[in-house]
Amino acid sequence: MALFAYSLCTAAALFCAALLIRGYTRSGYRLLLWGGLCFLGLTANNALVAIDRLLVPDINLFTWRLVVAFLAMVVLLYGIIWDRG
Amino acid sequence: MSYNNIIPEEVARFILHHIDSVAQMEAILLLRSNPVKEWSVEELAKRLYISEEQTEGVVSSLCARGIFVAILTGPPRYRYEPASKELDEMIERVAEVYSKHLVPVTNLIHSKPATRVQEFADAFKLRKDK
Amino acid sequence: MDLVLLGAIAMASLVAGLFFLRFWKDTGDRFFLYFSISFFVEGLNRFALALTSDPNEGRPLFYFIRFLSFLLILVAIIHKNLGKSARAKPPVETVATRRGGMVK
Repeated sequence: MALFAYSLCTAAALFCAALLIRGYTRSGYRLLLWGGLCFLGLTANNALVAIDRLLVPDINLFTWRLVVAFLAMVVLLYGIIWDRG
Repeated sequence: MSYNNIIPEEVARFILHHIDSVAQMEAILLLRSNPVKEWSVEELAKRLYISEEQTEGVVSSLCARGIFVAILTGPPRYRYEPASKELDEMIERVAEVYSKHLVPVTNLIHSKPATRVQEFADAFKLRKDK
Repeated sequence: MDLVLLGAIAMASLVAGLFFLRFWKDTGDRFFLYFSISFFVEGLNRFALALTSDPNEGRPLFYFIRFLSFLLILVAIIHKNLGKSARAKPPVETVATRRGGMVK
């Protein structure tokens, strides 16, 4: 059950990243690049949650998960603020 | 997409895709009226009654669209030189429509949204024909 | 360190949600509303997580809420691809809605 939830979040984030990057390669609209990178980061974050909780329960990846999610959000906000137009 | 029969559809489409402001439109017409003259940013700003900063934005985007060329041998100067004959012909049509129907064209230019953010949502359309 | 990061992520999510709300207002495209709510929910979710005694405990509720926020994004994408019903507000008045070149 938990695996299903983690997997869906990871897959959804990856799907969004793919669509945004595809859009960026087609149009060159930079916000799509930043959005794509953000969702790649969120993909990694969700994958790390699954790995942390299910694969390596003896190793604590919590801080790394947070760092990845934080960087992803920074990239998104940077893109929205600077490259929106 | 029908624009009240005054502006032909291809002209309206060109304006929506390539012309972001009335200042840009006026810059195109100004340089087009004398295609051999090379303009500096200061000269252009004075003629268009806008700031030099705004003028730089206008000319750089028009250069990127292949409507102006920049001569960079000294301080930058700009000249009307469309990248293709079709572009030149389309601009001529636009100029004609603009001179005859100023208000509808300026309204069309001003109806464009200020940001491209709609393209973010459009990127999530799965089929290629957007 | 963990709490700082959690708070920063929460704040960033809320700010992103605010921006998406603005995009919805600007474009009328409901897609942005879904994204906005999704990011708001995740932001509040992270705040709530930070307030627990052990954020790394892995309580299912928080992951369930994250799951819901991603579901919302998927709903947004499905909605965008299924029809012309993407506009929550009427589009801004354009030349097409004016007659005969006369300004209203």
